[in-house]
Amino acid sequence: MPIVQLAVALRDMEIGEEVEVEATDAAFLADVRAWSRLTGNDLEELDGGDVCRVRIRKVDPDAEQDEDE
Amino acid sequence: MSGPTTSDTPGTLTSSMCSCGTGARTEPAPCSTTHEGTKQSTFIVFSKEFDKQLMAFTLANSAAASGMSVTMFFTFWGITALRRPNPNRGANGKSLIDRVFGWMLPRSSKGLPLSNLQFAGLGPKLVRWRMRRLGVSSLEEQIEMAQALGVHMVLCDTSVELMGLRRSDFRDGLEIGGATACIGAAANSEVAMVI
Repeated sequence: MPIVQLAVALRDMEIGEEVEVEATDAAFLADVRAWSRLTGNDLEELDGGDVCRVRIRKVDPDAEQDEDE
Repeated sequence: MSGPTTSDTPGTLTSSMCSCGTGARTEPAPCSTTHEGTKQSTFIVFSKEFDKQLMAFTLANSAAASGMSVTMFFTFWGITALRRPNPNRGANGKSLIDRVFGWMLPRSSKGLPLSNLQFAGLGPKLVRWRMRRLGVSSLEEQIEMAQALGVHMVLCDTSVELMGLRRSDFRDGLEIGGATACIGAAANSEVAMVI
């Protein structure tokens, strides 16, 4: 499960640190978008092709999160 | 809802690669601890079927990975997935009828049937084989994953007794609870479902 691996990887990261993820799972892009919305971590989509590539930046979970309207 | 979600800020990201700039703040790992504002989800796992258990654990793990505090409440047939694969032999103070129940029910997550296409035991083997080929985490891996992610797995006390089982028949790291504990968790949850 790529999302679980991503969440585990984030545990050991400092706030502001970034990680790049490559996944072949077709559902990964939709999943990682939802995950980013739920956790508040920043998501940058790099490539949505067969191998999906995204970059995640860890944010401070205690900082106030910008809510969607 | 479906409108623009996050606006990218192109160009600025490359310069901040791997820099944190947040000073020397050392805080406890934010994953396992429950914050005040942490979202919660509750999954009531009633069914013993392999496919339903797999879905329950996949959802629970996704929720836990998304920072939610997750409770899985196992009741009725659902508890059989958490039986210890090879419990200590012997009567263990059980009556004959208790032991008959024990024989009839799945021995562990490895003995679960499918809800469809069971084919006298061939179906689950086929599905597991296909999962391995596709690189999908097995049910056993998902159970371990849930425990590693701090998912609260609660066994329904009444169901354990009803099935003639003992606490020692189940894997370690489980909690014991009743219907009210389950409702208590569900009442605080934004996601609650019965599987």
